[in-house]
Amino acid sequence: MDILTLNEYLNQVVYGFPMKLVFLLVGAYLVIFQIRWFSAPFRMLRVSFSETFGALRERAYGFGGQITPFQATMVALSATVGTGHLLGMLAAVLVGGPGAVFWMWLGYFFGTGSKFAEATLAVHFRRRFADGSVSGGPMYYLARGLPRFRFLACLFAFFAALAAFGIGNLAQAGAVGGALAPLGAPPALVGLFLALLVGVVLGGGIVRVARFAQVVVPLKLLLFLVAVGPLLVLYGAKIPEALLLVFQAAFSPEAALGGAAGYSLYAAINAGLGRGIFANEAGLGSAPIAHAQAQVDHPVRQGFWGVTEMFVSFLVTSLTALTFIASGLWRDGGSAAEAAQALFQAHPLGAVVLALTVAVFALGTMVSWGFYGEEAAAFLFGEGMRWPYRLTFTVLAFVGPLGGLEAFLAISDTLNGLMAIPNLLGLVLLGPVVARLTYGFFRGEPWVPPR
Amino acid sequence: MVKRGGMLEGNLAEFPFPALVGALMSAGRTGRLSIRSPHLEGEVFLRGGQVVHARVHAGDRALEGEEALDLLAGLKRAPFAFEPETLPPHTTLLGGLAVPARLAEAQAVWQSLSLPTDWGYVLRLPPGGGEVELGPEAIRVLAQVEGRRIAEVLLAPGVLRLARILHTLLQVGALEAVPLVQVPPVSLLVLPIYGPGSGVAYVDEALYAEWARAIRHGFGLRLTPPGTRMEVRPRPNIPGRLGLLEEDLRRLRLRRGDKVEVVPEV
Repeated sequence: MDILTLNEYLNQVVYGFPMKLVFLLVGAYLVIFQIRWFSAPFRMLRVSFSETFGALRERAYGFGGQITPFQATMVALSATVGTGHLLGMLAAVLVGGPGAVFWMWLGYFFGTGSKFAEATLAVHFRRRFADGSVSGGPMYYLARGLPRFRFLACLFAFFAALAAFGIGNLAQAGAVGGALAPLGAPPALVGLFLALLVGVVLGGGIVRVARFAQVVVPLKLLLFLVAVGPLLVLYGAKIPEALLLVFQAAFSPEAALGGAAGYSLYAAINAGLGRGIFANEAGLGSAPIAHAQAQVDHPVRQGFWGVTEMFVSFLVTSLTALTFIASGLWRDGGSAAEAAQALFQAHPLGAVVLALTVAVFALGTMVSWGFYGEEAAAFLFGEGMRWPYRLTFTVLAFVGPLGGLEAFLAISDTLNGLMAIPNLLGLVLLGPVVARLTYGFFRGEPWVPPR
Repeated sequence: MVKRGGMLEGNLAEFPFPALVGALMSAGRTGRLSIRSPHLEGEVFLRGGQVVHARVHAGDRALEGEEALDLLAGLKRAPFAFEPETLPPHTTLLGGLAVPARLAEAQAVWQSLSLPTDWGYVLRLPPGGGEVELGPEAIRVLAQVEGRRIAEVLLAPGVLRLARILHTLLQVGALEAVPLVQVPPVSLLVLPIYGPGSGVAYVDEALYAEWARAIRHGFGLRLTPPGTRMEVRPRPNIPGRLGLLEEDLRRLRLRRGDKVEVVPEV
């Protein structure tokens, strides 16, 4: 068995249906038994909004550290809200039908538990250095929270450091190049621009990454609204119908869709859960690396920011999906790229807005993933690895738009999926810590960091 | 006690006033003993081992002679310096054995009283109120002392009598002595603390420690707006924030991120 065959096999495992069920079950375990959303759902909802959207007007005020909770969330959102929210979402509807959206929502709901736990644990177990900087993420909560399973931390860091080169860099740079190519942008020039931008931003450490994310995330959302807004107006009358179809097709796609298209319940669940899990990265372990940087008085406060990250991601994917379903274009089949082209033909700005949106989405993802990879590499090999990692990342950002390196890209995609295994295991084993922190937070107890 | 350039220096906390004067008298010294506490200044002149003049003043109020000695005998902490060969401007004491006898008597009185060591403390009526039975003289004193420093009250004729009355008023709880806090107000952002209870405000540990060092007494916190006084406790990792419990947020009509000015109050 050669390495590519092995990779293909592993890829099918880590992105397969059983693995999606594992994601869902871990999220459900955290939501129901550890965080206990349902014990006081309205209070939880109120606190969640108060801690995040209610804190927006004080977003510039930190708690004395390097970056504010808002900025940390922007870094995480910058990575999370990527091309998967557009093209990936269209692909999920094309494969699973409108019913996939319902299952995606289910994935999102239970994903809030994973994301909350990840962000909380990331802050709780992070390491603070003498210069006031901090490092955290799954590799730290696995290493410090489960010292007997330190190898899981190393495994996670290894997967993350390498996956960042492929899925967080080559794939994103390729997406930027691909999106801008129809506008006449030469790939080499796009690569050079990306390399310079990524190099300059990553070179400034987390503070510059956070400042960049603070600009790019609102820009992403603005571009998304410009891209989807006119389509929503155009198909607005059909949105209720689309919504109804989502619920009808969720349980009996054959009956709801007439059976002509060949959609099955399994396809809807599989495609929907896939989006509900991988689009928001809950359980994957990437976002907590950013959340760990937030300076907060209690880890649970950052946990709520993790939920907000899910909420924003949920809005973007849901609006994309509902617009697509309302347009009726999903019935035509084809690839996600073709569907996107067809969908945006009705847009006044045409394909230009799609190209720009995809480019900016991919760019933001790239920078945040660069930081994730760097943190993972520094965990494995020490602080001296930061600059070599940044340089390698910059070089790959130049190569991305030129194409090639497909084999490496395929392997990094698998490594990206493999990140979830140690992380999910850690979330299950450290669930009681999340429960204790959440209980303490709602008893007004101050946070006592572990030694 | 140290000797610098012919000057003797020290603090009454280490060398009590009656013992100091006794030592200078025994050594037959001539000169001026200056005592400078933050709230009053005193000087005692000796000539050939005899105490011939004593004066205590604060601003335009002053005491001289035996009354001044009585007051100085009660000072528990203040830096002093003895300047040799300085002659008195005039004589208010006759010297001889009357001075040590007066000092011993005053010292005995002061030892029987428990007034705060820091005479910069301000006297005020306790906020809780309550009923106590007082004599006419105590009532007269009570009516005059509110808002004044202990040093100011004692700097009047009949020092020991006043000290006894103050002691009684403080003991029965008709008065309380609190430090005069002059801490500038701090602007903080409201941060919700989720938990049971009310009436407690939380500030960052560093800010609390800074206030505690400056005040050296139990203190509360006044919030503006809404002008409420609350109990204050330190809490880690909340620089620039004022942690308020949910119930207090509702009661005070405050919400997350509101800016409030806080000032510690004793």
